[in-house]
This record gives sequence, structure tokens and C-alpha cells, in this order.
Amino acid sequence: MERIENKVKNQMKASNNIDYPNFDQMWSSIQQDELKVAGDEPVVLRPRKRKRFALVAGLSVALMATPVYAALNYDWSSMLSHREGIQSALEQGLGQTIEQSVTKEGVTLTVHTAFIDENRTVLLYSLKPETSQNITDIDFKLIGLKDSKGNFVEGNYRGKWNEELGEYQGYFETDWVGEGQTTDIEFIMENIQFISNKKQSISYNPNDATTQVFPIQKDGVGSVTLQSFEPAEGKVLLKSDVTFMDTEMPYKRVEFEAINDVGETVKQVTGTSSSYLDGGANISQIFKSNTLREEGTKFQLSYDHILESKESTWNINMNLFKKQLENASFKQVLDIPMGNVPNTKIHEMKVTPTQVRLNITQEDYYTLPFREYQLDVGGTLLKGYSMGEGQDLRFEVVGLDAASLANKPITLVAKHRIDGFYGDENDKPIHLTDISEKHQTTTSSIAGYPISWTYYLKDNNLYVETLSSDPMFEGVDRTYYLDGKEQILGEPEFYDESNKSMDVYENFDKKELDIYIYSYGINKPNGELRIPLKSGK
Amino acid sequence: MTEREIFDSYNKDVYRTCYYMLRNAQDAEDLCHDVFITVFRQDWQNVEHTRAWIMRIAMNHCLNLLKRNQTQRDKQGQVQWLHEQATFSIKSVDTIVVEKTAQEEWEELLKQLPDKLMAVVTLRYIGELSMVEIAETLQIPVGTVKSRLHKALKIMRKKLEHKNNLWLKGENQFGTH
Repeated sequence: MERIENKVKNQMKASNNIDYPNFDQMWSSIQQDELKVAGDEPVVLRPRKRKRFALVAGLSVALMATPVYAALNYDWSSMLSHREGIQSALEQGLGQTIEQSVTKEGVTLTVHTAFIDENRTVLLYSLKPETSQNITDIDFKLIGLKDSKGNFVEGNYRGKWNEELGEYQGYFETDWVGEGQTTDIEFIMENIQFISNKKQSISYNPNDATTQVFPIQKDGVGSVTLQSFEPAEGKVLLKSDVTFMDTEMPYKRVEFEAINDVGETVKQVTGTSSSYLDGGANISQIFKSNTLREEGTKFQLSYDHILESKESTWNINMNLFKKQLENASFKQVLDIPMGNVPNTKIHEMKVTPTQVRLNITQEDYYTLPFREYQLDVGGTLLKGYSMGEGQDLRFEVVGLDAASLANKPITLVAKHRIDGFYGDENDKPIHLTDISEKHQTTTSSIAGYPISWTYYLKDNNLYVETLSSDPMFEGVDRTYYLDGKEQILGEPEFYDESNKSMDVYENFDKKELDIYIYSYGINKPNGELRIPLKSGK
Repeated sequence: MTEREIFDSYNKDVYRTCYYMLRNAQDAEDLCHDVFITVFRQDWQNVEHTRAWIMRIAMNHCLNLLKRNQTQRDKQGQVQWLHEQATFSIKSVDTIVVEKTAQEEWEELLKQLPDKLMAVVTLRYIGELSMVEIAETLQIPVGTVKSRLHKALKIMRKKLEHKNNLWLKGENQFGTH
């Protein structure tokens, strides 16, 4: 695949492959400042998509008595629930106290603590508005660092509004680490928005399976189109297609809510999934059908809107040093194959007191086929996650004394293997006949696994659902049909926790169709891999 | 940098992005023109990652236009492709022509990639955007960027294999005659 990648890259990048227009002429025309095609639609530079904070239930990190900073009486643990290494370092007093603030437009930005080691730089900060009335969240257009040369450094960030303290607390994390022992940086945030949440009741009828449209026409929300599906017996999948009237808040949080007759919010079966498009959002939520149909249940739309915008730049200059975290940091080149995962090696292990990072290299891009990763450090298990452009495996160090990492044996444990396979055009297609609004089923099998297919038309779209009775079958990822030689891929609509999935083909008008499997997965819940990385001393 | 310098630095990459996305030289030229007007109307001096930013604007313009012209373009693409196929076997007999055709065939194969895959491929190889930047530009998860890139390469490989087989067949026939 690398060869083909290079070929494609060279072909596209080579500047002499295509005939260019007369750029001088184009330049003269550009001077006239008149658009040729785009008309009156200015393209708005979109802000970075904000990563929403997800509260992880059942926190494993108990907050120990913190001997550290009197000034720092925050509980960062819920914020850092998936960055336990930082939480643990904070508890051990390994962070660098910053406690610097700047106030502009009535909003105070404070950087409390910094962590800098060979893997990453992390800052813990808070934003406190003068008054916090009605604020449920805070958003901003930019967050990042400037290094001493003035280069902007982006990163990951999460945050959460703390209602009790009336302020927003967050962290900023980047793989960028300054060279040398100390480094001057500037932390920058721009254009802060106070967000509030509103509810608008809608007259949704849970007994009506047809598409229902609700005009909202306020606070930037245009209308909501609700479609319902039955992903499984007794469950209802609600897809809300929401249009936005302004571009102020392109990633507005919108959710359908049901309130029962005693005023409680009806629980969803799975979490809400949202995808944002130009000027709108698609929201999917799954409920138990009977909970929506219960008498007295009311429905509403819950959405965010901007209460106030503060257009300014908040910046804090600081000097970071690695000292606290550099002890017990080490790096080791391994270059050992990752078991029987094709063409995949564990190239390097980088250990710091807050995180162990395994750098994975691959000859051919291949998704790592495991659901769960752990690092067994002399009997202590660290939970892993995959992140970054490559497929780094990262393990937050918690419950371990940083110094002991160097002496203990370390083993990578990968669990619950799921292998993905591509279908083949030579496979026998599944023939769908007499396609109509009626739900129809047919069966097939792939690699010995039985698959049942359900297909139907709804609002001129063809929906194709697949399901296997064999739990070892992970599911059909995607289907396609052939239009001449062209593969027309279905758009995956949802995946269930079982192996059920659904593809949609929009504006479909055929009566019959041969459909193929593009890719599917095989589940091996007991497939475990143990790879010793380092022996103990 | 002056506006002219910005234009000179990025005009080819922007044009190529538009060309591959729209599969049409005239549209690509007009859109390339509009991309720079859009860039200069904004506060471009204060943008940090100029290249990524310009490529994003280019991609947004392309996707908007594609949305508008969808059906029209599909039809044109099919006609052109049929034409290419009809002339192909004759050309392949002549090895000198094959060299030249290979380049054009490549273009044709590339142009057949579905829009969604093409968007990822152009942002990656022409725009030189990172996976994360592509994800943000197209507002899709990074995992989806990776899988679309992988899928695009896989499709290209498959199509090339088919082509190579055709070339081989052509040459064999030529040898036995």
C-alpha cells in the first residue's frame, strides 16, 4: 500500500501533470475583487471543533489528601478522568505551580499548574466571568501556546463549567515540549463565549412513525426534522436533523429530550451521537419505545445558545521547566513485532512519570485490531488508549511510584481482538427484490457467519439493515452496489452494540438491487496478546 | 508576505485541489480565482497556518460547488470515461503511446474516486494537511479520515491492477500477432 500511496502522492503533487491556467491573467482578475462562482457566499473560517467534555462515570481515581498547594483547592479529578497520569502527578506535587492570571472584558483566565515532560505539555486553567448567571458552558474560538519563536502550538483541550464555583475549568494538552530544561511560552485564549441552555417544547407524537417537522425559528435554531427507526425490538432510534439559522455557533449542542409525567428526564439507551454539517446537525438517540409512549410524557428540544461574546485575547507568559518530571524519564528503542498483527512493530517506548507512550510503526496502514490495551508494570495494570497521528498507545501512569517504572518488568497486554475484512466483488451479491416501503428480509452468509438483511424505503431513501445471530460476527461495516463499474457506498447510519448496522442510500428509485458487503468484522473477545517490553531489575 | 506572494506560493496547489475535486479545468480555474478573493477579503496576515487555512477554504469552495452541480457532473464524468475506455486498447499496443497514456490514465483513475474520498486524498497529498487538520476541515472523525484515505488507496490499487492486466493482455495479443 505504501507503493500505491507514493504513486498517488507523486501523481497529485507533481506540478507538471496538468495544464495550468494563465495565473498572471487570473491575478489581474483577482484584483477586481469579484467572485466568479461562489456568488455572495463568503466562506467562513470555521473554528476548531471543540471537544466536548464527557463525564466518565465511576471514577477510579480517589482524590488523596493533597499536601501540595494551599492556593489550589480545586478538584480536577473529574476533568482529568482520562488523563489520570496528570491527576496522579498533581497529587504527588509533581506539577509546576503557575497561578498567574489575566482579566479582560470581565473574564479572568488563570493558569494554575503546568506539567512538562518528554511526552507532552499540559496546563490546567480556569476562566471566571464576573457574573455567572444562566451560564451553563463556555466556548472559545482559539486556545493554544506560542513558543519563544512565536510559533503557534495547537493541542487537545477539554473543559467543564463548574456551577458551584461559577467558573470554567479545563486542561490544554499538546505533544509539543520545549527544547532544553526551561522554556518560555505564552498561553493564549481568544474570543470567549458564554453559553446557556434552552428548552423548547415540541409536539412530537411517538406513535407516528412518519417524519415529523418542528419549526423553532429562534436562538439560531431553524427547524428540527425527526425520523424514527426501530433498531431492535422495543427500541426506537430518533434521528433529528436540525438546521441552524446563523453561523455563530456551528457546533451547537442540540438534543431531543423526553420528560415523564413526574418531571424526570427519560433515560436514553445509549449516549447521543451528533455530527455537524454545514449549517446544521444530525443527532441520533436511542430510547426504549415504551418509555416514550407512556401517558403524560412531554417532549422538548434542548439546545445551546450564545448568551454573550467577549471578543478579546487573553494571554499569559510563563516559564516552564521540566525538572520535576524529568527524573525517572527514559526512552528505549524496541522494534519488536506486535505479535501476529501484520507489518506492525512496537518501535519505541517513552516513559515519563505521567505517561508511558508506545510508538507503533506500520508498513501498511492497518487499524490496530484490539479493543483494549493495558500495560502490566510489575503487576500494576495501566489502562491504555490510542491517540495521535500515528497509532501511539498511551498509558496514563497511576498507582505507581514514578521511580519504580525503570526497575519493573513491563508487558503490553492487548485484549479483545476484532479483525476487519474487505468483501470482494467476486462474492455473490445479495439480491434485494420488490423494494418498497414494506420491511422485507433475506439471508446470506459470509466467511461462514449467517447474516440477515432487512430492507425498505423511507422518504425515498433505501435503508439496508444487517444483523447476525452469531455474536462472533462483529457486523457489516458498510455495503455497496455497483452502478456500472462504480461502487456506490451506503452511508452508515448507526451501529448497535450487537452486530446490527444500517446503511442508507439516498434518493433511491430502483425496484431491485444487488448489494455487496464492502467490509465486515470478526470478533474474538478472548483474543489476547501479551508482549514483554522490558524485564525487571 | 504580500498578497501577490501568497498567490504565487499557493496558486498551483489550490488549482490542483480544485481540478481534482471538480474534474473540470474551467470550474477549477474560476474557483481557484474565488478562493484567493475569499482569502484576501479576510484577515489573512493574522492566520497562523496559512497553508492549511487556504487549503481548507479551497476545499470548502469545492464542496459547495459540487453540492450545487452534483447531477450534472455525474453525467459528464460517465461520458468521458466511456470515451477513454473505447480508445484505450488501441493506444496500449504502442509502447511509446503507453508511456504517455499511463499519465492520462492515472488522471482518469484518480478522477473516478468518489468525492468524499477525493476530498481526503487532495487535502492530504496536495494540501499536505495532517490527519487532524483534514478531520477538522471536513468535520469528520480522524478515524474516518484514515479509513477514507485507506479506502481511496485501495480503490486506486484495485483499479491499477485492472489496468495493468489490460495492458498485459494488450501486449500479449500484440506479441502473438
